[in-house]
Amino acid sequence: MATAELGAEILLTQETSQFQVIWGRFRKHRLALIGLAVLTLLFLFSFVGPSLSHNNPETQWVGEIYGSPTRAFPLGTDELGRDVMTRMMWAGRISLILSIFVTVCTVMIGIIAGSISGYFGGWPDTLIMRTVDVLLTLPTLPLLLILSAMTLRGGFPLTSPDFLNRFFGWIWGMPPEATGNIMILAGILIVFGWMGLARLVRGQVLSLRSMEYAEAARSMGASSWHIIFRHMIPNSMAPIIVAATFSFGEIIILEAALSFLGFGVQPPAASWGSLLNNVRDYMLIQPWRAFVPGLAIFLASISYNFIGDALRDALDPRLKL
Amino acid sequence: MTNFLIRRVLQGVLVLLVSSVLVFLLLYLAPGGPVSQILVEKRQTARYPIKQEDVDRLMKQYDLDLPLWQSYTRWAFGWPNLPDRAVRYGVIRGDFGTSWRIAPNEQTMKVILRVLPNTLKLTISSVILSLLVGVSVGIYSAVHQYSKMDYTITAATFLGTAMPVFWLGTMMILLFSFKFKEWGFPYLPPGSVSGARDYIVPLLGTIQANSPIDQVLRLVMPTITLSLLFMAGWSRYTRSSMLEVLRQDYIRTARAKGLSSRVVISRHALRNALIPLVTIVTLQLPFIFGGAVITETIFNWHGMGLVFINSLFQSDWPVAMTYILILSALTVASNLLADVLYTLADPRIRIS
Repeated sequence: MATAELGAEILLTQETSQFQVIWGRFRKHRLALIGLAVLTLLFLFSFVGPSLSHNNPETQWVGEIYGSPTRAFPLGTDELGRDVMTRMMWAGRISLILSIFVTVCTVMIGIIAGSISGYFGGWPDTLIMRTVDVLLTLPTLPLLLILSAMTLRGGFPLTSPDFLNRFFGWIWGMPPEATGNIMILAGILIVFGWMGLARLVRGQVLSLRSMEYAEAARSMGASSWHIIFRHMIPNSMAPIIVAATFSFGEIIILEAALSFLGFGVQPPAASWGSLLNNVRDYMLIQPWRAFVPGLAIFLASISYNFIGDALRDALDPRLKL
Repeated sequence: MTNFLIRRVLQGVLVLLVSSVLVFLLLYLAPGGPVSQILVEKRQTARYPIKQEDVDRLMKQYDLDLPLWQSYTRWAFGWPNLPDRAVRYGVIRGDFGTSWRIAPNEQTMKVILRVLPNTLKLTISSVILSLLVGVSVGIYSAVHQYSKMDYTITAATFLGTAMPVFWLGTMMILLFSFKFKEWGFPYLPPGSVSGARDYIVPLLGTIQANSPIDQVLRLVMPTITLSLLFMAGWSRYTRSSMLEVLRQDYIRTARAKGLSSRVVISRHALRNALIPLVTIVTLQLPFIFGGAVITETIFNWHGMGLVFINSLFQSDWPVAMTYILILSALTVASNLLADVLYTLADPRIRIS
């Protein structure tokens, strides 16, 4: 009887999946869990909030200029009598979604450039890595500023594909043609944002390509692209995911910095950064209007940082600093 | 070593050359051409309608009507010299072109260098503050690893790296300048390099405009704002490199000899732990200058960054290009310096 029970117990020990192992390690980081919760709240605030709020971000309430917080306007009204709370929600959509879009694009470019560079070596490697070197020599923030200053005044010949404009227009609640400036901003952030990831992926691929399983795949006649997509990239996913998580936070800050300086998201659209820029003249009479958007940026950024740090431990303990 | 240095210098020159081409091409990115913004404004303000010949004259004055390559070589190398055009000496001989709007027809380099002392004042004090705080906090963290204080410091560095500096700066002005003044506490002046008129601060008495104490008071908030990010980063580097060193055999030997913990840490561990930090600090110097753009804007600090922002608002592209070139050169130079310092500081690194 005893032996039978023991046997059953062994059989009943559940197999833990990869995901459960990772989640188990992730869960130990209390700050990361808090970060996850805060981020969820920020997303809910931006995406569910507008449908709970009966105000429109563009509506100008006559006679309600520079309003203090009331029940109807929890964060008061701005210099044009618009509800600040509702504007915060819609601005959050731009800040949060823009950072995700930019990161997804930079990660894809970084993966492709890095794996070509690392796997094939030779002149493609030289070309890509020297491009990375030169782009990294140019100072990021001033360069982004000058590019935005030149392109944001309108009339920039390149536009993003129509389906993207329509998609983001739908999310951000604006007509597709109004997304133009924000998409240019995203484009600039993408063009000058992929270099770090390319270097990371290249390093990974360089060390992975001499592994036995890559050798084995090659000996079985697998093509280079097959090895890259089926072996190199999946095996470098851990550091890529970690880097991408940190990148969400960085892009939010960078976009906010550009918008704060007046070269990011342009009115009437607003991101958290441009709300902060907007309030600079009214800071003394409505200090909370400067505090709240900055707090949102700070919370989003630090949450991504905490999550990234925990993911680094959870996905690959060897990566720990 | 010499060969390595020569190779790195040549590489650096090449990188600078390529980035100068890129920076120059930026000029043509503006929709409707570089002068479009100026023309728009001239059309609004000029007494007479702007004719095509006026546009042509403007284009000729700025070398914009030439073929692209000629325009570039004249800007970069001052070659070829063309008849009925101004002689250009080229960036290579220190002629970065003239400003269009901020200080019309003045050398851009002069416009920027005039405010260099202000930027240096801010950046140098930030580097000193970041090093003092970062290194000491990092050492403490490493020596007392996994203590309560270590965790607190780690959390604080997270706050520092995730903090949007423009928000921090704004909030500091609100609190330390305006609210403190309102509450009757000693307050800090909200911005500018030096004051225009005297003001009274509780406890400190009357502060004379432009006196040393006035300048110091005005330096406090911008310095803290600019250094926060680097403070956080450098304390992490110090901590991890100190932990690495503390595990080494020679530290155990030193302890085994009976040296006091203080001597082991300050003489044996710290010296070796600071080697990687030297490199990091050198590599990040350009970022401090770049980051000063935001800080200078918030505090209306009349430095290079603010001049750059103003040049962008006024479409004064030559000034903006010069600023970016200066920062690129600084990046290349600091990369080179970091390599040299690293080899000098650590004899274990041998370069063949």
